[in-house]
Formats: sequence, structure tokens, C-alpha cells
Amino acid sequence: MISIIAAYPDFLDLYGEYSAVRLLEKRLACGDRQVKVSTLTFGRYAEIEKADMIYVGAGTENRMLAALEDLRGYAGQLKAFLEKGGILEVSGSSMAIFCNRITDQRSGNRYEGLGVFDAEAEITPKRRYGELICSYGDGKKIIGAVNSSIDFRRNSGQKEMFTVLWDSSKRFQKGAGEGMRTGENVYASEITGPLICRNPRLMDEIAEKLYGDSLPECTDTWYLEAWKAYEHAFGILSAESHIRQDETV
Amino acid sequence: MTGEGHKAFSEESMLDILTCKLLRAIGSKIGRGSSLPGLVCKKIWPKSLRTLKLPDKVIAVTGSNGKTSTVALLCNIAEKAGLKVVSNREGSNQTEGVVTALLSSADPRTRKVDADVVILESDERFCQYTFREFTPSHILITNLFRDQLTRNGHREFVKGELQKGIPDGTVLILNANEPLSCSYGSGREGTVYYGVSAPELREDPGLEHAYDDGAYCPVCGRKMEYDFRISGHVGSFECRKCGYRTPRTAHSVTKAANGKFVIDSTWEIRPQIFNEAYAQNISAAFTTAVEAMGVDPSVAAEALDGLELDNGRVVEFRIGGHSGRFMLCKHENSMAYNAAISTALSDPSEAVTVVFIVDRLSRKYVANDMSWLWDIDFHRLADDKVRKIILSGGFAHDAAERLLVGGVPEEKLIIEPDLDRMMDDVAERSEGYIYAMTCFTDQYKFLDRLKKYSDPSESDSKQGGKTE
Ligand SMILES: [Zn+2]
Repeated sequence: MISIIAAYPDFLDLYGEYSAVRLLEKRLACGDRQVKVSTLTFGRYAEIEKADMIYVGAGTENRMLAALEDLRGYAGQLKAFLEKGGILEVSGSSMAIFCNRITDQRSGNRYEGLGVFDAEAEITPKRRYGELICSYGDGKKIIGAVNSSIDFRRNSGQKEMFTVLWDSSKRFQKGAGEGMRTGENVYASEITGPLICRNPRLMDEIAEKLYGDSLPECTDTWYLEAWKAYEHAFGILSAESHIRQDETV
Repeated sequence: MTGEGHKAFSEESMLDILTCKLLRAIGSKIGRGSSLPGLVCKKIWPKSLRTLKLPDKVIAVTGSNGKTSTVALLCNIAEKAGLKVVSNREGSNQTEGVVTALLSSADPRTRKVDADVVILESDERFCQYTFREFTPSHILITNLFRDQLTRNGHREFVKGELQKGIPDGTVLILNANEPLSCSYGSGREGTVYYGVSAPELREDPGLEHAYDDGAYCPVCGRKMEYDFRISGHVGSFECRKCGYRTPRTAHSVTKAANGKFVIDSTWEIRPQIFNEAYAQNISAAFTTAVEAMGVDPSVAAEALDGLELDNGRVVEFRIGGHSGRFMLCKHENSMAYNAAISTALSDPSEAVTVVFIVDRLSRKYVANDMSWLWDIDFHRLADDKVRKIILSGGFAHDAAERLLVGGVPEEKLIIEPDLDRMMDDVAERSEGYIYAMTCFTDQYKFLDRLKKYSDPSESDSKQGGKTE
């Protein structure tokens, strides 16, 4: 039995984020592997130490700050979870929770983050929306959207998750890094969509880490439809950006 | 309400008004009569609205859903009450649309807007620019729902943006059942509230939604509780921690039965659309007419009774031997689709077919974000009554993934991205009554193709889709 914790799913609940865990559950079920999903939220503890994965989705900036204060109480358990190789995936604004510091330009307040990423976050009063094509690994492409008012700055030791090939909002230059990645178990990206729903290859890769072996193929219709949806969306973005599947930075 | 007689706008500066009137006459011939004149005049005379002489009653209507219908209802009441109305109801709800409506109805010499009441629809994000130039006497805020998040980010952000557009001294008229927009009234004296409490319109307490924007108190952030819900997070709410709760309403839809809404247990109204969203619009319009425009309640009720708005939002059709109804919704707005899904599920027959088209998100913006699909209560289409679900448009596969992950049985789905082949499927493979839903960006992809099969006619149904 694989154990996934959905953190604050009824609170950090923007942009369909709840579905990421549900998709992983379905993908693993395709490999005949059962998943137990537990909820960690205010006043409700889930056994972090025993989990295989924690998913933290995107929420509003104020809610992200409230979740940070609650999660601070579990900093020790979280550290132990990451040290044993537990998978942490973080999306959108919630990436700030795991940075060193958060500065809120709106109020002038500063907050200590959980320091999982060697990076700084700054909440700005301005919102931006951009659609992106990024690459990772040996040139694999993901698509998605950034709908955010937070600026992230990685310090020199912090690796990114993706390399941006194209951003409709031009906030990211071609070749810029996006998101954060630490080792083989900690992933974070500002890109929502939700990322896992729109990018079945990435879904497979994360599911395979949880599976612990090579993941069996899936022929379920929902999964095949996810691939067709990816190809359609990539086609639209590719027509606009002239980025092709075989393109590298 | 009025601008003081600025010296800068003396006799010769009637040019702004004359230009606007002229451009409006030209613009209406090329289909840009509502935005272009205002856009040009705003550019040349950015402060001209400040010096217009407006009537005492200037009522602005804003919010995520329901504003167009509510403005139309209000205009009808005002006219029935014998008031002369100036409104942007047919045109743009951004600042230039307001400029066009006001300048083109002003007297060039006196700068007086020729109206007893001005009724303006305003985009939530544009109030801060529009109401910099003049102060409305009243602002009606219908609700703050998840709407066009690619443009609006999220509801809290829109709340902050709209807050910047609420002048001191303006009286707010708020939906007592929508917690986020209702919180504008906290500590603001003179705020008027309206609501819907009819037991018949309450949601089944067991109904699950894709998300719950009522889970946490918008004031203190703690868990919130509900006595009842009307739809989603709209209902009678209370935060036990900080005491924030549904306030007492000036007027409310207290009963909904036999195709009628009853306001304040007294005034009976036969609505064009019999659902909970339209009940909120009716309550908003009635309350605003009575409390802000001083219309007698009996006159307001009479004006609303049996009123049919010509809004093209519900179109009845026949195809392949089946009857159907087209319901105009809004992509990136789950409440609009949820209301349409509720309508389909409340069909009295045993079998219905649902057609859902997503081909293009926006006419104006680059937007291929599909995350909003996960906010719609598509899981409800697993209901036995729904026999077939036809998904079409470029994003049909995204919709299919969403429905299947939501638990809709695979055998119900017909996934056909091609719009022409989709119409053949609708004609040949539907079962029972057809409910077709899509956004205004995609509506003609269905309605135009429908002409090959049948003649759509405007609906006069008593039940229907709710949108905006
Ligand atoms: Zn509270």
C-alpha cells in the first residue's frame, strides 16, 4: 500500500489542484497498486513519517501563509520524511512555504519559510498569467500555466525543476530555470494546470517512483485521453511559440 | 453625485459630448457603438465624466455572476415605474462603455445627463478606474465567484481590486448569502442586504462539490458552518469563531413553488428562469429598486412578474427527433456550468443527453488553461438519468479526462473533437432530451451548425440555464 498525504486540499485548492493526487492514485491503480490518501489540514494530523509522498497544491497568497504557520508545527516530522527519501511535490504559490524566507510586499511583513529550498520568495501586488513550454531531463517537454503574484529567486546552490523554452507572458526568458528540485524526491513548480493532469509523462515518472519498479503500461481511457489532451495543447502552444517536441535549449 | 461646474468645461468644451454622440451613431453601424466612442473620448478628455451633472440615483451593478441579467431586470422595473433610465446594458461594462453611455445621453450645453436614474453594469476589476471619475449613489455587488481565473487570479485578489473601486459614501447593496462579497458590508453603516431563503431552492445537504469556497471564513480564516446552502458556498453561513454570519436582509425570496418566487412572503413573481441563481438576481433587482430607487414594492413586483428578457441565453431546438435546450454558460466559471448541470439533472424525464463544447477559452486573451474544468461538478453527470454525454471542441480530450477521473462511466461518453461530426452524433446518438452547454466564445459553433438540422427558436421555458 502506497501512502500519499494531500496537504490542506480544501484550503490550498485553486486551479484544480486536488486532482493531482487523484490522478496518481488512478495511475498506480493501473499498475494494480493500492493507494491510501490521507488529509493533513488544520487540526487534522496525518502520519507524515509513514507517508511515501506529500502533495501541497496552490492556494491564495494569504492561505499559503496560513498553511505555512500550521506546517511549521510539523517541521521535525517533515525533515525526517525528506531524509528517508519521501517524495514532496509542491505546486504554485505553496512553493514559497518551503523557501528560506517570504517577503510580503503588500504588508511589508517577512516570514521564515521551512527552508527546504535554498531560495527566497516575494509576494507582489501584481498578478501575472503566462502559458509555458518547458523542458527537463533529456529534452522532455511539459506544458502548463503560471498564475501567480509571487517572485521566486533561487540561490546558487538550488537546482531548478524545469528549463523554460517559451513563456507567453515573457516573464521567463528562454533558457531560464523554473521551479525547484532537490535530489530525486523533492519537486516544486509554479506551473499549475494541474501539472500532473496535463503532462502524463511526468505523471508516469512520479508514479513510477512511488511504484518502486518499472511502472506497467496503462490503457485506461482516462489515461489515453490525457495524452491526447497533452498533444492538442502542445500543438496550440507550439504553433504560437514555434517550439517543437525535438527542440532543446 | 455631480461634478461641480468646472471652468475647463464651458460652452466650447461641449465637444466631448458631441463627439461621443457622433461616434456612437457611426459606431453602431460598424458594431462598435458601445466601446469605441467612450474609448476615444476618454483618451482626448480623460476628466470629462467629472463635470457631468448626474441624477441623484446612480446605481452600479458589479460582481462575478448575474450582473447583466440584474441590470436588465432593474432597467425594466425603473421604466415600469415611469423613470427615465440611462444605462450601458447593451454595451461594454468597462470604463469606456460607461463613458459612452453617459456622454451620449448628456445635453451638450448643460452637461446634464437626461435621466432620473443611471443604471450601470461594471466589470469588477474596472470599478477602481470608472468610479474615480464620479461616485455612484449605490453599488450592488452580486457575488464573487471563481470566474476567469486566467485574468482574475483568484477571488481574494478580485475582492481587493474591487475594494479599491468602492468610494466612501456609496451605499452598498450586498448578497447576504455569499460570504466573500457580503464581507464588504462589515463595519459599513447603511449597507443593504438581499437574499434567498426559500426552502425549495436549498441544496441537498449531501451534495458534494468539486471545491468549497465556503469552507473557511473570509474574515478570520476559521472553519465556517452553514444552516443551509443554496448553491455551493452561497447560503446561510456562520463563523462560530468571529461571529461573521449571514446578515438580516431587507428583502428575500422566501418561497419558490409552482413556477413562482415569493418575495417577503408577499410579492409573487413568475420568473423567466426558475432556479436558485435567477432567484438571487430577482431578489437583487427587487431590493435595489425598492431600497435605492424608491420604487413601490408592488410596482417592482409587477414589473418582474412574467418578465422575459431577450438575452438569447436559452434556446430551444429540435434535432434528430429529439427536443433540446441550449444553455449559454461561461468557460472558466464553474458556477455557471454547475447551474446548467443542475437544470439537466432536474429534468422530469428518465433520460437526458448532455452536450459540452470547449473549443476556445477567450476571444481576447491567450488562454489554454484547463484547470477550471476540475472546478465544475461534472461528477454529478454519473447520475443514471444522464444516458449520453457528448464532448466536443479542441479541448474535448481534456474534458474527457476530467469526467472519467470524476467517476463518470466511460460508456456514457462520446468524445468527438470535430464539431461537424459532433452534430451528427447529437442527431443520431442522443437519448432523451438534450441539454447543450457552452460559452459565448463557442456558442455559434453549435447554434450555427444546428441550423442545418432544425430552426432554433427563442425559449419561453420556465426552467433554464443560468449564466454570466
Ligand atoms: Zn470568522
